[in-house]
Amino acid sequence: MQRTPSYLLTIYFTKLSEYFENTISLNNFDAESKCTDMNTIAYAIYLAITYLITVKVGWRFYRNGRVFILGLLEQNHTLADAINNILLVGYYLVNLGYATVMISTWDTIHSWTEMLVSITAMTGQIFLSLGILHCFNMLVIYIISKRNHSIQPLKS
Amino acid sequence: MSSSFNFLAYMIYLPVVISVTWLVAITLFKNSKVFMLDIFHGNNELATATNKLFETGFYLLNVGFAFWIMKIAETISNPRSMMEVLSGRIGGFFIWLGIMLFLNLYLFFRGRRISKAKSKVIIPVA
Repeated sequence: MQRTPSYLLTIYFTKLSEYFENTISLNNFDAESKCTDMNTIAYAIYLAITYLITVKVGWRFYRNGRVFILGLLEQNHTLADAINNILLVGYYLVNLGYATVMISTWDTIHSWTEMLVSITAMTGQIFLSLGILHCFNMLVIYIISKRNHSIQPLKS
Repeated sequence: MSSSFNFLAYMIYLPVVISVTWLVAITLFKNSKVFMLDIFHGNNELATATNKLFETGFYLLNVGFAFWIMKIAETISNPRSMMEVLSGRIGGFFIWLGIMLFLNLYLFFRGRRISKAKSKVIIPVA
């Protein structure tokens, strides 16, 4: 009777809530607790914004970049799609990883104004680096196409 | 009280900056379609794709820059200094936006010139 899943689940949740209550009540006594709380909220908001934007922008690049890869590969559709997919995955890895790594360099937040400032500054930094990477990529595509002389108008 | 002016300044700065970037991007990239069609010899697919890519880059660079420079280091104690600081920020950002606009315009004109020069070379041969 005591080994039923619902019983185990109840035990698990009581232990979990005990653990959280203990940590929170321990933290309530030092002044840092509020700061860590605000930092956590800031991280959640920051991650939500940057992930949303990164995924949206990546999707945009994926759809609009296909024409260029097709142009470079002389209309080889299968290879173009394969390269496009791999590039998308690489883009997500690099940018989401970068956005996540930036969290480790965050200052401690003491007020709502500071939270707004730090979230905006960090998001701005991510956007800027995305933009610079994007311009660099377009430059690379331009140079490659100039070397190959193969970005021709696609009449397919 | 002092921090409330800072917060108010941010709350004015962010909507202004985002909406102006949006308006400029809409105007610029609605009209750049003509250039793109010229550059790619009327190839609609390639022109739309390039236009979209340029638009994305424009948004990323400008909104990113606006967010990045938002922080006001000193605490603002009265409305007058808030106006001064804000006008400095927003005006500076508008100037940056104008420079980016003309840079984009320069790129469009350059692409158009190059593609025209190429087609002039190609057409007698073909």
